[in-house]
Amino acid sequence: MLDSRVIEKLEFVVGKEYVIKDLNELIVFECDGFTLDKSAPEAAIFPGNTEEVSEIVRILYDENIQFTSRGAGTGLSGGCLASKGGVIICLSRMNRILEIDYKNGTAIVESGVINLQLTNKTSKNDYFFAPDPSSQMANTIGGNAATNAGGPHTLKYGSSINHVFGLEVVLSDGSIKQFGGKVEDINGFDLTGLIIGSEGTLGIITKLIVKILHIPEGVKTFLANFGSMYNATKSCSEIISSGIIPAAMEIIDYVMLSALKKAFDFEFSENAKALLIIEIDGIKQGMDRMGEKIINICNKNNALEVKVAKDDEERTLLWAARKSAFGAVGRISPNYLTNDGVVPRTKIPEMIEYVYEVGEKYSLKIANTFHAGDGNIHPLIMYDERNPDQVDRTFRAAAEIMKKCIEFSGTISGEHGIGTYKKKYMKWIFSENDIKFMRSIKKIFDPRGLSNPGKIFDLLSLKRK
Amino acid sequence: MKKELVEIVSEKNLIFDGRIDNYKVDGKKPEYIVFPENVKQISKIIELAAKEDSKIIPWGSGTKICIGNIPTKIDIVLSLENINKIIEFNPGDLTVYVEAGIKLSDLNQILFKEGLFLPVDPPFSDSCTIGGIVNTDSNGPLRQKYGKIKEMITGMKIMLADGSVVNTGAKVVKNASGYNISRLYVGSMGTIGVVTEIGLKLQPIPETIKNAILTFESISDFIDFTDSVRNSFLIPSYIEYISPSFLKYLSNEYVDEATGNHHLCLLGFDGFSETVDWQIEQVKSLCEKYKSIISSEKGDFFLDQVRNFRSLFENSVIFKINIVIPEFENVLKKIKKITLEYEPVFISHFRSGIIYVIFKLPENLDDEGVVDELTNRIEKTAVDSGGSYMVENIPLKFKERISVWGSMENNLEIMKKIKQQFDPNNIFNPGRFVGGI
Repeated sequence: MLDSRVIEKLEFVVGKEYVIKDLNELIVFECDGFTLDKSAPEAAIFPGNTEEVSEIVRILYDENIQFTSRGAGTGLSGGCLASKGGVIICLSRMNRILEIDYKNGTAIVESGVINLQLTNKTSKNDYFFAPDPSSQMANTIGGNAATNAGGPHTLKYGSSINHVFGLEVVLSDGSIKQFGGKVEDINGFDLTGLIIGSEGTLGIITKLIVKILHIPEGVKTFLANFGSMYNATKSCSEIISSGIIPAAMEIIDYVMLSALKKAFDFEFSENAKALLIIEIDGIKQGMDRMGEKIINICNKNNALEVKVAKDDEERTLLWAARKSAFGAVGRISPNYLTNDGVVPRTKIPEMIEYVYEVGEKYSLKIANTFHAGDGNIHPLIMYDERNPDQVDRTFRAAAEIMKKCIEFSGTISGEHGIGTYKKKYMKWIFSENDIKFMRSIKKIFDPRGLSNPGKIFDLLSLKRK
Repeated sequence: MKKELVEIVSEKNLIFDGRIDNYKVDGKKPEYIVFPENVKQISKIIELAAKEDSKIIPWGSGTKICIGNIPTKIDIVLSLENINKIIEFNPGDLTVYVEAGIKLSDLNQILFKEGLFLPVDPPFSDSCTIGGIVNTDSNGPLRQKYGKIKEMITGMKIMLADGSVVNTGAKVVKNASGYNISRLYVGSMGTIGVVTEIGLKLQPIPETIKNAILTFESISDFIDFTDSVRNSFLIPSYIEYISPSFLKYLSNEYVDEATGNHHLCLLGFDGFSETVDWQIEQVKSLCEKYKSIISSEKGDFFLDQVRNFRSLFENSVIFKINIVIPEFENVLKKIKKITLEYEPVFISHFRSGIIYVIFKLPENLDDEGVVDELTNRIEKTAVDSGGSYMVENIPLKFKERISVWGSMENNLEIMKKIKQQFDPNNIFNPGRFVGGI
C-alpha cells in the first residue's frame, strides 16, 4: 500500500475523486487483454492535463515509486499492468482533440482520445485517421503510439509510427518534453520514432501530433471463400507479387468463422475452410481492372466463390464482424491467448499449416484471423484458465509458434508489443548486446527505472552495474 | 597507424597519398582513406581508431558530405564502397536486405528486373548509397506519396564505437518487438555508429508514370490550386513548386513563353494508366480558372532539374526549411524580402512543406556579419511558422561562422546523452551534428 502521505499529495494534485485506492476498485486495473498475468496497482490516478501528469510523476520520482501509464487497457501483451506494483496513471480523462489542421494534414490530440473519435470528428471534412486496430472503438491514440499498434489497413497505410509527427512526453523525473512537431523533418536524433513502440517504458505520452488523411474516392471489398487455407494464403502472396498493394487483406479460418456464425449469424459456405477479405481503395477509375485481377488470382487458386460487398452497409457489416472476431471467440471458449507473430508474406501458407500442427500436438483449439497481406498472424489459442495443464500447454504452443516465426526470419510481435507476456522470448530475436543497447536507451530516459517497469525487458543488468 | 591499417584492409584498400584530396570534408584533410571489404574489418578499424584516439568519418559516395557542421577533427575516412552486396532479395515479400555501401541506382537496377523499386528519389540518385541516404535522411519529391526513407526500413546492422554489433528489427514489414532502434540511426549523420546493413521494404513499379508542368501568375493562384487538389480525390506522387527565378539557370529551349516568368508547379501521378489519365484530366479542369498552361512534354525535364538542382548551385547557399503548409505563402514572401538583393530561388516539395531557399552570395562580400544576419532571420521565419531549419550548403568561409543546424536547443540534453552513451570517445564524425555532437 502507498503511504497515506503520498496519497494525500497525489490527491492534492488531481482532486480526491480522481485517485482510486480502494482494493476492490483497483482490480479493474490488474490486467489488460492478456489475462494470464495479473497484478493490481497500489493506486490509480486520473490526471486531467499534462501539468498534472508532470506533478504526479515528480512526486513519485521523489518517493522512488514506480508508475505505469494506461489508456483504455485494450492491449494484448500485458503492457499496462502494474507488474511491479506502484501506481497506474490512467490517461482516459485527457481526451480532448486540441487542433485539426486540414491544410497541413495534422491533428493534435491528448493521449486519451479514442482512436475512432478522431476519424469520426474529421470524417465530415472527408478526412480520417488511418491506424485502425480492432479495438479502435475503445483504445486510445496514446496507447496506439505506445505499442506501435497496427490494424487491417496497415498493409497500405502503415503502423502507428507512420502516422505520428510529434509527441509531448512526461519523463520519469516529471519534466515535459516536446519531440518532433507539425512538420516532417526535425533536426537531431528522431526521438519521436524512439518513443513510439517503447510501451511506456521511456515516459508517458501526453499529447500527439498525428497525420490525418483525405478519404479515398472509392472502396471495394471482395470476399473469397476457399476450400483450403493453403489456397487462400497463396492467393494473398500472389496478389502482392502481381504488383497490387490492397488497402487490407485479411484471412479468417473456419474455426473463427464458426465462432462468428454463432455470435453474429454470419453466413458462409459450409465447405469454406478460409475466408479471404480483400479491400482496395483509391481512385475509382481503374479499380474495376484491379478488381478483375484480384478475382482472377483467387479463381486460379480454386476459390469456391468470390463476391463483392454490394454496398457500404455490407462492407461495414463485414468489417464489424472481422473486428469482433476476438470477441466472438470469447463466446465459444472461456479464455483465449492472442498471438502476434510476423513472417515474410510468402511464408504465410507454411506458417499457418504449422499453427494447425501445433494445435493438434498440444490438443488445443486455435482460431485464426490475421493480416495475411503483411505476414502478421494472430493465432487465438483457446483454453480454460481453471485448467492449469491447459494453460501450460497454451503457453508452450504459443512459444512454438513464435519460434517458428523467428525461423522464418520473422519476429514475435507485429503490432501488440512485448509487454510482460513476450519478454522472455526477446532473447530469441535479439542478442545480449542488442538488448543491452535498449537498456542503455532506457537508462538515458528513465535512469531510476520507474516508468512502466518490467516490460519488454528486465533491468537486472542495470542494477548489477 | 599506417602499418596497422594495412594489416587490416591490405595495401590496395588504403589511400594515404595525394588522392586523399578527394576526400576533404569542409577543407579538412583526412590522413587515411580505408576501404574495408567486410564487417569484421570495419570492427577492427573502429577498435584501432578508439585505441589511437583517431576520428572516423563514415563515407558512402560523398554526395552529401557538405551537410553538417565543420568536423572538429578528421583522421580516417571509412569508405563503404566495397561493402555493397545484396545480401537477400525476396521479390515475393517485397523486401531486400543490402549492405550499406550499395548505390541506389545499382540496387534499383536489380529490383527493376522483378518489377520492383525502392520509392526514394533523393538528390544525387545516380551515385548516392543507401547508407548515405539513411544517415542523412535524404529524400526527394516522391516522399510526398511514398513517405521518407525511415518508413521503408525493416531492420539494420550497426557497428558501435566499441566494435560490437547491434541488430535491429527483423526481415518482415511489420514489427512491434522492442525499441525502434533503426529510427535513431536515420538522419544521425553517422555520429553514433556505422550502419553496415539495411533491410528495406519495396514497392511494385507503377504501370504508368506521368507528370505535367503547370504555370501560375501568382503564388496565391498556386496555393489556391493546391487547395483544390487537397480537397479532391487526386493522389499526386508529388507537387513541386518552382519559383520564376529558377528559370534563368535553365537552358533556353525549355523556358519559353509558356513557362517564362511564371510560378511553376510540377505534378506527378503514377498507377494504372486509366487512373493516371483520369487524374491529369481532372488537373486540367481544376486549373482552367487560373489561365494555366499545361505542358506534359516538359515535365520530365523539370523533374530532373528539381531533383538535381544542387549541381547548378555549387557555391551557393542552400537552406532547407520545413514549414507547416498553411504558412507556405507567408514564409515565401517573408524570406523573399529578406534575401531580395541576392535573387533567391525557391524549390519546394510542397505537400511535405519542404522549401529550399537558394542564392549566391557576392564573392567579394566582406561584411561577414551579413551572413549571420541572413541565417538568423531565415531561421527565425521558419521557426516562428512552426517549422524547422538547416543550412544544407554554404561556402566554407561563411560556414565557419554559423551552426548549420540553427540555434536548436530543444532536447539537446537527451541527444548529448545518447551520443555520450554510444560514442563516449567521440570517434564518429565529431562536431558535425546538432549541438556540437
